[in-house]
Amino acid sequence: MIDDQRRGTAPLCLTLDDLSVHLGERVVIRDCVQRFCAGAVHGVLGQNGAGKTTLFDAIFGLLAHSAGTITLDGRPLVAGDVAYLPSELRLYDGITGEELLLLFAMSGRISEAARQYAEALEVPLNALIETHSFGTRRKLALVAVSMLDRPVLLLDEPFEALDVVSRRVVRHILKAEAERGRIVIYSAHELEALPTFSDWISLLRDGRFIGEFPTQSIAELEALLTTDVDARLLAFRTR
Amino acid sequence: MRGGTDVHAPASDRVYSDNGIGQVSALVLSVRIWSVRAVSARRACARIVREEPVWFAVVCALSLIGIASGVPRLVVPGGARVAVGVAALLAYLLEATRPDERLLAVVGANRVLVRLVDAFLWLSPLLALLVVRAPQGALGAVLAIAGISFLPARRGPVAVRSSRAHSQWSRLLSLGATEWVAGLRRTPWVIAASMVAGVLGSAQPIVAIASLAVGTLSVTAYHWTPSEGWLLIHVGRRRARAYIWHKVGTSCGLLVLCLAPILVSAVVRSPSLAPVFGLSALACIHAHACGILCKYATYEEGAPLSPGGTLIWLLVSAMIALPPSSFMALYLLERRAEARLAPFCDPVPAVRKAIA
Repeated sequence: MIDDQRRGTAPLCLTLDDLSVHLGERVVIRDCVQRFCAGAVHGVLGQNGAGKTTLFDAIFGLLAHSAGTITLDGRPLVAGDVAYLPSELRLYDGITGEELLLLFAMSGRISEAARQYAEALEVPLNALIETHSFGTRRKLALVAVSMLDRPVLLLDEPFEALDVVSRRVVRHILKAEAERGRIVIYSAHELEALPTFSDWISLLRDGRFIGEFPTQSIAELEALLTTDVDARLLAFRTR
Repeated sequence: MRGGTDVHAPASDRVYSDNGIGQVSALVLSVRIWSVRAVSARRACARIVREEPVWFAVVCALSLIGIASGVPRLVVPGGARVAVGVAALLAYLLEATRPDERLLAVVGANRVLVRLVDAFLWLSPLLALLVVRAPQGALGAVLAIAGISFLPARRGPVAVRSSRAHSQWSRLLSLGATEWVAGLRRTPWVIAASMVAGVLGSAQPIVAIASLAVGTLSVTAYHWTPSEGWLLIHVGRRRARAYIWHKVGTSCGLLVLCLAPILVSAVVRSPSLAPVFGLSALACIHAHACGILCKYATYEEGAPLSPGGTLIWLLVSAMIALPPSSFMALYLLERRAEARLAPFCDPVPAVRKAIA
């Protein structure tokens, strides 16, 4: 499926057009306009509570959006377009990693790429999931989600709880998936995870995208994100 | 013929009636030979002799005793013999289609347990018939199965990573029966004990019915884990209703397989109570279905079955005496479960609704 799309002239794009999402009475995402295209790794950076998870849930369809549209190549997003790694995981404890991957394998066979990913991330596939640490579970889930042959790979906080080596491997995995022609979007709240490999970084603040940037320095991104905080810190010091 | 040893029967008959051990041993040996992946039975035998000589010798001795004592009866046609033959054929077929490493993967790394489950799983129909035909030989047969299962445990099957693709059917079964796999790994003993107790004690209706209930309760408890996240539900790529009924159908089917030996032996031993046993089994399956539906009707991400859900399950299970109520309960639970699970199963309706 992905290869077929790659053969086309224009890259596949996921478009958010004036997207707004309410949680009860509160507007969490407001009038978001953004475009994520295939072949690149897109990072969504924001503080805690900026609306990253809500945005991702809305893209996936878990949350209905109150206004705007989500389209993939001009058509509404349909089931099976998105492979989504949520920030909170619940997996069967009593099965092994290999069995979990088999549940995800639509062809009934664990792909060689998935085995390579698991090996690179040092995920023991023969051990029961209940013996895995939190970080290993997340790595296993990432491998499982990457097996789903869907054009959009949506990862909520994929670097959370990962060690330095695993982060490096995950970056390579995301790059490899983008090069396969997928739209790779992930969220993060740690600046250190982003600029060294993301092709594009979108800053999300208070439910709005305040800009999209190519690879920037950490200092520049930090300055963009913390303009309000500096004022608050100043007030804190003068109190 | 029922009831075991007849003191007025010829000596050879008496020996045969009591000799469940010999018959079962012969069957176990045959199944073992069949399960060895070799180009011929001769090579399979050679491999067994090489790897498991003690086990082979013991089983051969027991089988020869059984065959020798049973020769006078071979020419006598009888329903029990036909049934035993059918059960043996069934065991052959099942054993031939099941690779050892699959069972090892399900049960775990304990080779003794693999052997025991292997033997009891496929020989349970024969065991049930044996209990009906010769009750006093049944206990010996159970002990014999357990014994010959222990002997070669040191050299039990070894887990091998299978490189072949699993069929779509196998994948669907895995999706539907994941709770069984996880549950059997943690607490296999309750269901195993209830099956053995139910088959052996099927002469007592209360024992048979209690075994049905305990077995049902234990496998229903497999579903009360908080493990099933929407990530896995989403992978099913099914609508909520299809997902739920796939789960219910698979689990109820497996439960029927577990309860069948108890039910068959109880019905054959007490035909007059067949409606009671049948209704009990139906109640168990209904309760199991309600239990699963309650789980999804009260589904919360990461949360086990709520106390309220458990209460509903108990209430609707009690309604089996009134069929319209039970059907209504199933219907209502299914509707609620479908509504609860829909956001996790298929994102399209929410998106379309919002767009519209």
